Amino acid sequence: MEKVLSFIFNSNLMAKFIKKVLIFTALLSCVLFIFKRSVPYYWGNELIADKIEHISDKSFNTLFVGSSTTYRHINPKLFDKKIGQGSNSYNLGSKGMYYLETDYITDNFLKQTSFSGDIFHTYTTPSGINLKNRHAIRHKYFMDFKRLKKGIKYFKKQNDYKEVINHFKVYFENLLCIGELKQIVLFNFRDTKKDKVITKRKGFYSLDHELAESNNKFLKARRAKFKKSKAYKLRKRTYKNDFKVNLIVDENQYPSNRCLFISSNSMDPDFYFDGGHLNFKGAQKFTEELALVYKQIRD
Amino acid sequence: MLFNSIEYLLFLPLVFTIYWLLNKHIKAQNLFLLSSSYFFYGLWDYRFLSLILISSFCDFYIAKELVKENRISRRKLLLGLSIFINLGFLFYFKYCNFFIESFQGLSKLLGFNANLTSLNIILPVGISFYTFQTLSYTIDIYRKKVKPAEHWLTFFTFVAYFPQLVAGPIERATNLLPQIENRRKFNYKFATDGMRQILWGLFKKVAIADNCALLVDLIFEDPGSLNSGTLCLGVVLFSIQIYCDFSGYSDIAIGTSKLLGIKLMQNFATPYFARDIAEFWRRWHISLSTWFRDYLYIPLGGSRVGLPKKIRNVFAIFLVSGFWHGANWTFIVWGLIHAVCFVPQIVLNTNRNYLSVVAEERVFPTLKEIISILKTWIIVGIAWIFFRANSVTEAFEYTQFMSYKNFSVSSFSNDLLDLEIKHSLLFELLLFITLLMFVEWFNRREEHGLGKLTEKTTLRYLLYLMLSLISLQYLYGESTFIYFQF
Repeated sequence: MEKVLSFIFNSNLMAKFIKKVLIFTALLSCVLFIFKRSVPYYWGNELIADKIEHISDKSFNTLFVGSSTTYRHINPKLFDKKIGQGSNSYNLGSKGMYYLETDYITDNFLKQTSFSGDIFHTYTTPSGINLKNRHAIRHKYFMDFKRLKKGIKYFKKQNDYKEVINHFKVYFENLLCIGELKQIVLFNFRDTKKDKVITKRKGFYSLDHELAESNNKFLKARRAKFKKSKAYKLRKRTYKNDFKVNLIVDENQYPSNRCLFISSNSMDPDFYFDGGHLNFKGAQKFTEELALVYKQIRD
Repeated sequence: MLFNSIEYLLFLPLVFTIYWLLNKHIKAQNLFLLSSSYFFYGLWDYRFLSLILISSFCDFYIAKELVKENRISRRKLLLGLSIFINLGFLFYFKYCNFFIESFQGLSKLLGFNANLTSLNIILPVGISFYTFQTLSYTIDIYRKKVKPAEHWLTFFTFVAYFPQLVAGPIERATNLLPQIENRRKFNYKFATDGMRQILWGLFKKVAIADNCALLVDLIFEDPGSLNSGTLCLGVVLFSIQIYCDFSGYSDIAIGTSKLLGIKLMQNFATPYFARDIAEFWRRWHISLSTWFRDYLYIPLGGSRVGLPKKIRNVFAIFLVSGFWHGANWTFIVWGLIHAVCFVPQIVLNTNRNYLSVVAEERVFPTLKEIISILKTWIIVGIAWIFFRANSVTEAFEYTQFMSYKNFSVSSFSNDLLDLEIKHSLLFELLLFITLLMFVEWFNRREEHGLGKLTEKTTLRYLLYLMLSLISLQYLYGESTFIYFQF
């Protein structure tokens, strides 16, 4: 290598210097690689990590993966009751799950386990990366080459090149473990005691429950704001009684596994906790409808 | 583009490789350096490249005319034109609103209301730095201290040279111009030292300055609700933040330049180990201090005049220095505090007591030296309050709160809880600051913190690895450098 470099730059010292820098870079890369290998693929989202570790030795046959619209809306216990016939489902949702993160978790879960049941995968419209959140691991740990390609493909189509650059930035940051090292170390020493959301509620946590149990000021304000909002009043006026759940079946994405994308129609605002999320009553209703439609498709 | 960004991590190796591949052709190499510099600056805001271009163009041709001209009156006129153009830009972009607002305030005091509206002006990054650099060039040509650049490419590269374009060191034509004019030779020792300096600068910036900033911002936001211990911590942390931020930038700039075979001047020499204010100013922002010394203090008579004039000169240099930092009264008061502390040394003729580094022949300082260092740090720290505060009133309030509020360990802990400051962050900072002090103390005779290290390769590489990993941990968010605003 030194000879080649020496020929290119016409200087032995330059070749020696570049060689040293490359060796150091390789050494640093090895250390970073070891760091990354010390944690499982799902390490960047603690809730998901707890959930995946919980279900690893259990025999669930239906999983719900997605953002808060999965985490807050689908009650696996009710779902199982409605489906019957040995249904054993688990809610693998997490709040604020970016569409690429959902994709990454599902993809790796399928690759690394022998899971052969059904996966409900919430489809959310891809949104841009907010670079202000770059210090948060949740924002980048999933950005591998496959997700980078996927994100770029989407935003290129939209002619949004700023987002394309942002995806590259986040990809490189993740590659170099920027801002991740401390969290990787901490992950290896984390408290793995599972709370009742993970164990007893089968991964489901409605916003009503969270508010009652944590008395979260932020949630309280969110709900109060929604009740006063024009959207609430408008929904109230336009609400019709035909509650629907639309399921779009797309078997191209995961040919070997059945993947269902869920979207909800407008509903009675009394079923809502805030502008975008259902309350417990709404979640129960949504789960019931989902089970019903799923049963029809399956049968 | 920022030094602490992913973009720079890709930009630097690319520039380095192409730059040295073009080494046989000096003009092509300089053209590439100039294009890279414009690209580097243009990524922030390409519109302000026009200012650099105008400034470079004017000074290049004014300098050419100055050399040809023998008539003193005409030479003065040409110099005046250069000063007018450069300071005109600086005045418009940096000070216009300050004068409008100050005039409005004064008019209200005098009982009439001048109805002037502030202008919506963006401050171009680094304008104070490159303006002073080009000014020094024309002044040196006027003084016949330096030969003018023969080719426009050399001069334009001298003005826009990316490692030091946005926050210095403010280079002199006598040092930088010949290096750009002549063919550079790759120097192995120089380049490896440059890499070490970049690493040390990056560590100071991202691990120390940026983490200090998190706490400092919280403490300075509402000092009235905090106890004196927390407020003192705020001052100490800001002192460290500004040092690590600015000297970190300088280290990366000088290190980058070393990779390109160009030596820039030293900008910091462990200023917090200074034993008095005079020594502090010989070690802090050296390129600016010497600029003011050469182009303001000495022309005013320097120290070769009577005592009243000497005192006037000290006040002049510190007030202008304060004003250079920003269009705010806080900076002027900051300069004033330093001047007031400097004057007794001028009167007692003790300003050149400490010309060499502290504990030069020893490993550790004496008790007297430690006390002197702490005394200097306290003065500098109090002045930093004015530098950091948004207004002079806020700064005075901060000092008041600091002196009369209670201090107890429990109230300090309560403050940390209220501010939601994690103990782990304080612990990390303490660890990094201890490492900083330790490394800089043992390298206080060197140009930078990693100037001289152990001969043992494994230990050295372990240190590099550790610093790289720490820097990678905090290299997110691309926070700007404090001195960019100047």
